[in-house]
Amino acid sequence: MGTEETGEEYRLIRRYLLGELREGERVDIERRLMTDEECFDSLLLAEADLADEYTRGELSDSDRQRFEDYFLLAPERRRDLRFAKALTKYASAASSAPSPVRPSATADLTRPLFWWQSLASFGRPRRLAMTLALAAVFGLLVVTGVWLLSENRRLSSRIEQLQSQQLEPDPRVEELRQQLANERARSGALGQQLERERIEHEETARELAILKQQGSTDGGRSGRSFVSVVLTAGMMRGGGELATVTVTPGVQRVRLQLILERDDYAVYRVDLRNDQGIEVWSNQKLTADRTNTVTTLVASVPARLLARGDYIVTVSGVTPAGNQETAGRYGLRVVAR
Amino acid sequence: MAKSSQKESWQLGQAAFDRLLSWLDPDRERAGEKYEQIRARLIKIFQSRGCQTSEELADDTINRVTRKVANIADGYQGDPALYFYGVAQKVFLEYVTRKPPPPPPPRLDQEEDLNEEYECLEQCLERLSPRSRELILLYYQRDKQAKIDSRKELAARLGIASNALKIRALRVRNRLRDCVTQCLNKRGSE
Repeated sequence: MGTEETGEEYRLIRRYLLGELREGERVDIERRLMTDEECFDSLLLAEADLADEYTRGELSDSDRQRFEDYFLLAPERRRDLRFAKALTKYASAASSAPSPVRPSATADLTRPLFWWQSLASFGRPRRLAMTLALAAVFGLLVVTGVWLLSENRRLSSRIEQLQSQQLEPDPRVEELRQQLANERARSGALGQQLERERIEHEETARELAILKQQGSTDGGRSGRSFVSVVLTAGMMRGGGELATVTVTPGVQRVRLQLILERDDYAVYRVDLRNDQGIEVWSNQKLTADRTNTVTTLVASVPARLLARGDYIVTVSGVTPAGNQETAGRYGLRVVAR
Repeated sequence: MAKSSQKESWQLGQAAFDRLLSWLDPDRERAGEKYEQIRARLIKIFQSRGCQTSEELADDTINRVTRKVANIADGYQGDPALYFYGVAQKVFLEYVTRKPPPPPPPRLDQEEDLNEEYECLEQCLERLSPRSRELILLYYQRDKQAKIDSRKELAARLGIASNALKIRALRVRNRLRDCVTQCLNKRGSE
């Protein structure tokens, strides 16, 4: 997307992303980002465009330099750039090669012209219901086609017979001609309609399957956005009750409220590992919430990272010298519904 | 530590969080959405300022606001999101005084290995609907002027305005990127 296509705000946001704004302009933009949805959409758009243009070598020299020196400082953006490169190369390969780089993923790029081409590609496993429905549609089409073909032949033959009997046009011949044309038109329209319905049906079935598989990853619309669980140090497997949190579809974040036994540090690190010891989430800069009697840390973990299973949460205090000292371990069980 | 005091602490934390959500919106679901919007915006702002731990800084900002919400909610005038922004500026100042500027990122080699990204991309494309897959591949397949022309053509074919096409493609791109990120994370942990 070239900048010539877009408005003043978009251009300002691009400059913001490249670190070219003065302090006052930057604060103005950021205040709008916090409150204006369109402004935030423009930022997401400008981020994607910059990565896309950088990948294609379309940025000016100065913008390219700012992109590398400033825009890419955030690690998330460096990851996003790799994604942008992969997507651009993939899409370009799909458009230029007669046999795309990854044919299985791009086979649906151009829809089949004829229904039997789809039938021929039925090797992949699909839902039984969809297969049966499509088979019924194809069967109907075949029967209808055979009937229309025989009807066309019968009518053509009748016309030829009448034409051979007399040179003068007969009203009955004209009627038959019209009938034949109508039948042909019906045949074509029926075929097109069936093809449209086949495509719509396939898409709907696929969307449904994706929604089921993803368990409504958009979340937050159909259920609670958050679930909270309080964790006490030392409650590990075999050592008593293991704190359990239920993650239902739609939950976006799990708030872990960790009760600290001692409060000796200004900053804490929290890491969450699954039962194989693999770190699934961490936060290196948490500060404690203190009351007269107890101290807690609140960690907000994206629910999508939490598969069903048992986890160990380790809290480490960060010393002024930057060293970490274990301050507590907590057990957590995640169940999904 | 007595169990009663632990329970009391949890109730206080939960109460503050509930108070925060009520401040954002009386409706719990809408409050949850606003919370997520504010968090996403804070993360983008920290990223745009070159921070290395944007999610943590956003969570720190939210935790600080949560602790203060009982004192400020009643008298506060205006959009609560701007209060979060004010706190975020303070969090950012503390971040820059605590951390030295990070070294510039390495130059990205044109020939870097993207095989894992390709494989995840392929899986994730399969999970898109055919319509979305076609849209995203057509949207990103051309360079320079041909790209502008083909996007205009695509918008005309879909019967939508050019801006609507950009937003639609962006939504698909973001879903695809999130899917690829999850796929790569999963592979990394296997």
